[in-house]
Amino acid sequence: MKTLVTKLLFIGILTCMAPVDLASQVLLNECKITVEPNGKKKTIQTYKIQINNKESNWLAEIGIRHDPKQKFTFKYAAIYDKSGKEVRKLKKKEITTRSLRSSMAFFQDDMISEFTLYHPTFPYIIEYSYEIVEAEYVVLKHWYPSKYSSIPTVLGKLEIQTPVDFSVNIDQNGAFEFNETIIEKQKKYSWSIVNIDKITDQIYAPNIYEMLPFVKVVSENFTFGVEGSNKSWADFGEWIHKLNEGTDDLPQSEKDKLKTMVAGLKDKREVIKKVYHYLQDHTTYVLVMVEEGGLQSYPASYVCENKYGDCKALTTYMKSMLKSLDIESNYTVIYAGDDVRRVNENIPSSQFNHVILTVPIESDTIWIENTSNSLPFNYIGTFTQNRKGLAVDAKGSKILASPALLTDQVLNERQFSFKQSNNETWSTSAHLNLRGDNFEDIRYYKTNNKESKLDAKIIDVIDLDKFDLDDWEFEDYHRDSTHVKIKLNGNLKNPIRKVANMEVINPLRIKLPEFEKPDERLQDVRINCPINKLDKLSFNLEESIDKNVQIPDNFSLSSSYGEYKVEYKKVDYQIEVTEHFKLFAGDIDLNSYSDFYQFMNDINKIKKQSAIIIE
Amino acid sequence: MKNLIFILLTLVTNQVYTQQVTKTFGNFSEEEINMTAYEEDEDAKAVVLYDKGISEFHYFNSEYDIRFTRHKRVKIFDKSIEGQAEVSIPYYKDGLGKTEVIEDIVAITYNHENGMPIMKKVDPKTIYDEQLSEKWHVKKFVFPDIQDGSILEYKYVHITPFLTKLPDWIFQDDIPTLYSEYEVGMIPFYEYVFLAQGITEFDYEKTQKSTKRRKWQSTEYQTLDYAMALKNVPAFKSQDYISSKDDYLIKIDFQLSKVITPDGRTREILSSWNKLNENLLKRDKEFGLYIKGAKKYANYISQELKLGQLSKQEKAEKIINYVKSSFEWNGIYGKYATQTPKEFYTKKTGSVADINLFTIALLNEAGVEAEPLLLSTRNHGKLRTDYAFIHMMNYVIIIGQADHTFLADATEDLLPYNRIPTRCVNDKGLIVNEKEEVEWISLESNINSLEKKSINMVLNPESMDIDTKISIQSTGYESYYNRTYFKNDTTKIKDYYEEKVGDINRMKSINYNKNFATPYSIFLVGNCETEKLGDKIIVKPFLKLPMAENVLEEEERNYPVDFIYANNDEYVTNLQIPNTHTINSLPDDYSISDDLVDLSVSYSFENNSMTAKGNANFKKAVYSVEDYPKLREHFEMMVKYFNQAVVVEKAN
Repeated sequence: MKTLVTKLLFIGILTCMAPVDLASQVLLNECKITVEPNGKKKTIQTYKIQINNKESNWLAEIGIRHDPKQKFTFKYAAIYDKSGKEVRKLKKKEITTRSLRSSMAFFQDDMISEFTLYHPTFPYIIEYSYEIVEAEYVVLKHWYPSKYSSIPTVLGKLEIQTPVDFSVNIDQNGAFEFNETIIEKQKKYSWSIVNIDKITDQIYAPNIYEMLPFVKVVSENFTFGVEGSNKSWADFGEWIHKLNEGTDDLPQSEKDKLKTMVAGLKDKREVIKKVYHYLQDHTTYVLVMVEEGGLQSYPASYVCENKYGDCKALTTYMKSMLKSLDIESNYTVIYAGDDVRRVNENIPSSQFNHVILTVPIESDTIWIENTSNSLPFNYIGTFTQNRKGLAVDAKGSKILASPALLTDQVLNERQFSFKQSNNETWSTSAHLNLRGDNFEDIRYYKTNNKESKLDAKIIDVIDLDKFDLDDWEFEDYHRDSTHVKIKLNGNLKNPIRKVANMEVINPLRIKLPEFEKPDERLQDVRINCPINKLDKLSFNLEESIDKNVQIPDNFSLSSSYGEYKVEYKKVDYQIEVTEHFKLFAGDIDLNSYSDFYQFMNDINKIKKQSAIIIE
Repeated sequence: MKNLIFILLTLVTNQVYTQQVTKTFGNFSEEEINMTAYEEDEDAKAVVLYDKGISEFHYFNSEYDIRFTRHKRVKIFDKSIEGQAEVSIPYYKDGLGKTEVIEDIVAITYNHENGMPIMKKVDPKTIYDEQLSEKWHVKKFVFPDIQDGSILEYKYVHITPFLTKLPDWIFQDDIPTLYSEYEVGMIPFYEYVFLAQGITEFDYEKTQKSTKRRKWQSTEYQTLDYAMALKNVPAFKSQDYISSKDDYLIKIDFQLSKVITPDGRTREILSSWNKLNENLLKRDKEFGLYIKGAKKYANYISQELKLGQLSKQEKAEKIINYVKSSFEWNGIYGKYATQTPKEFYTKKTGSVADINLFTIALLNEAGVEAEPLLLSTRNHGKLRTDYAFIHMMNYVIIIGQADHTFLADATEDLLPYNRIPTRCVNDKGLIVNEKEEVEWISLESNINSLEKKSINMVLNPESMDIDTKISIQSTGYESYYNRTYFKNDTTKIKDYYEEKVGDINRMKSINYNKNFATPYSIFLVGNCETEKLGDKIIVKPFLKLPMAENVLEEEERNYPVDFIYANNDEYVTNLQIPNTHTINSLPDDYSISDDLVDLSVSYSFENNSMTAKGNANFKKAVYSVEDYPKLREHFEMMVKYFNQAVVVEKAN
């Protein structure tokens, strides 16, 4: 009877799918969670996926990730043809398990169990199910009904059953049908959602996890390593604090060394800076994720001995060093990366992927990125700026916002001077003054002596077609500086294009981000970090002194999204061009997108039609 | 005389360095400690000071295993160097009880601070064991406290029961190597042959009989100890468009050739290519016996495919295409099947060998003569035929006889049934058959690939921009690359071509997966904003489709330029302009033809219609180092002449 029901279900689902556009899709993503009275969590996860063509066969390659703290049990997997008839059942011996590897980590102890469920006749359906039992966990479930953001999902179901006195906090986003019932001292929460579309990658879109429907359920109290609570951010922070308790075991010899090192420094800020430079000069970032899900820090003594560690260990080490000098600081968890995933403050819980250190000092806060040996002291870069983090403390953990990089703080200036040397090349000298991500990259390559990458980066920043870089040098290089100046010389292949009897120079060099046309844009725009580019170009046209030289008209445009200005000046045979583009940080909703696109398009049009003509 | 001077210089240099080499673990010379740079390569951020491997046979548990001891010492000049601090040692478990073991790992970082030596040992708890796959594992560790000037030293013992896996030795690294030595103690029961690459003469070489007498069963024997060393080996520096790093590294490879029992009986493992073929076909359950076992699936499949009345070629095409569409390649190369035919047939997925050996069985059973063809893929290095070194081959394809001889690889469903993927286009391959004369087949592609771009442009009289209709047709390997990259994905096509041709409003691809033997076509309809200079309109007839910059940047070249296949790049443009406008002068024509290329560009204008034609025919798949300057110049001309613009002006 059970088999019959299953078959009918398959037929039903197949029928209700779009028969014309046979896009492969996830038919069912079902997650059932049971919490036992002792807090143990059992998750049964079932997927049913329809595969319509060979190109979609990657959907039949299954990998299930689990860690050594979890008890993983494979339940079943099978292939069904389009009529719902079972054509093959997976044998357990077909499953292989190996270490999970990632380019980020040198080593991690997570495992992945893999198998394949291919069938030569399309469409076919695969179904598989597994169980994971965990005695300890931080989040009860952070559930995305879309298994793959690039594939539509027909039906998503989440069911959580807990003892009636097991308190949870819930956050959700999406058109869910929700039910909550109590039967025999068991509380059952259930969510379902249908027809979730795929998500297309678009430029400057919000983080994909914010666009997908989700349900997040956290238990008020939990145990992971140590007991913890999600009742408030203070409670959650206290758990992180307890998890890392005792890791500040800096050896006495190191404490003595630090005392000697900072002896004579009166200003607290100078002391912190000195210690930060010591950390930068003597440690390396290496990520090893073992035990406690990679959440617990290695102790300070480990970093002291080995001189390497991940963000947690290096932060613990830095914190311990400051503590030994009577400077208190906060281990601060944050979601790092250019693609910011915003913290939902309404649901205290684990929402972070990185650790930095914040040091309250008078009315200010010093921000310390411990994994970087190249960033200046108290520099908050594009990796962590403009977002919320949790400053951890024994009792007073609190959410705090990292400073946003201002337009002036990301200004990238380029001054070029071009002079015709011969018919083939123009001698070029330039001064660059770089901030923001360009600054961060160059500092990283410089500090780590990556000469070829440094050369490539400079050529990338110069961004001139057919340019040979002869020499370059830093100007006023200083490790505390938040910008980097570079002076360079080179030869540009003659930028004059000969078109009929005209000679043409396209002077405008600033590249703008390329946005989709309004009818193609599906998502809001989010500019996390402003863009600010200023070019000053000087063309020496001495060789064309007898010719008629026409320059384009000046132009400027200003809106709530940004500013663009271009000015031309001709003095004798010298043409001066100033081009300045700013794009402000902020969110632009889809309703305003046409207006925003118009702003960008107006600039693009002017740029394309701007040429110096020599006749 | 020149040679003599060179030899003397070498000897002097070597003698100087020989005095510096300290071979005891943890014992460093003053020179090693104080070294701050390597004068032969001033850019080197580190050097291998000493690298020694010793392979010995040990009698254990009534059989021999090989114990390979590695001892390596690296001097760091610049701690930012990548790849030296983290060490990975792979090892193998066959899943049937035989396993390799890595033991006795000792690793230290040696620093000198304030005149005091400081040694830090890698904590054994931080030596991790990672399972890469079902059979491959790796031991990993990171050296602690690396500073400029650190010496990193480690040793370990790798024990293998697989006597076919006598460790090879690579004398060269990505950083310079000052001293590299390999010692092998051979016993009289296993014979190996070796192949040396990139070595004309060792700096040190010694063969001697051990003084120690050993005994196996009733046979008393002495080991024969070989030692070979190279000094001052430069860092390996790669270049673009080379076939494989493996082809150029200085190294020595071994292969088991004969097993001799104490009572004098011998078993040839490797004597000749014929023997190897015979063994593979008649005795190897992961090769010949696998093909035999796969035959029982042929009947069923043959009925399903209704092969009865078809010609041999039709049968071959149908069977190979059936395998391509019904089985999924798991991405694993190899020459031996990784599962039984039954498992493969059930799971519908497998390695190169699983798929191609299975297909051979189907073809043979259908009356199409087909044999395995062993080869070495491009990233695996070139084959050498001097000795029957099976481990030089890492891939098996199909050679069949229908109307003509054809090569096939049933893993690659974006190619016609009788074409092999470019990863297999590498020198030559060995046909595995029972014929007396060994047959080698050239794998070089003799098919010219083509990409033809037909561009129709109409200058819009109102906007003075261009309405475009473009078709891009590709054949041969060009079509394979296009199919692989674009598939049938219009978003991908649009993203790629919009940068080159302007806005695209409609697009489609044809023949993506229906008929592999026909060209793959992309059609684009859109518009392209022209450049306007005063009242003049500038149009690039080939848009931004031609190569914009010379990809052959280096002025000199040490290795051949390997494009894998010969290629023809063709353009035809027709530009219609309104009667109100004209073209007063056309860009320069250009034409050159030699043994390397045919290049031509020409323009004509008549009745308000401009035609531009361009053709770049690169005649060779591989260009020698000697060809390079000329080839580079041709690329330069192509960039120049294929990117010219025409000016449309108001008619008088």
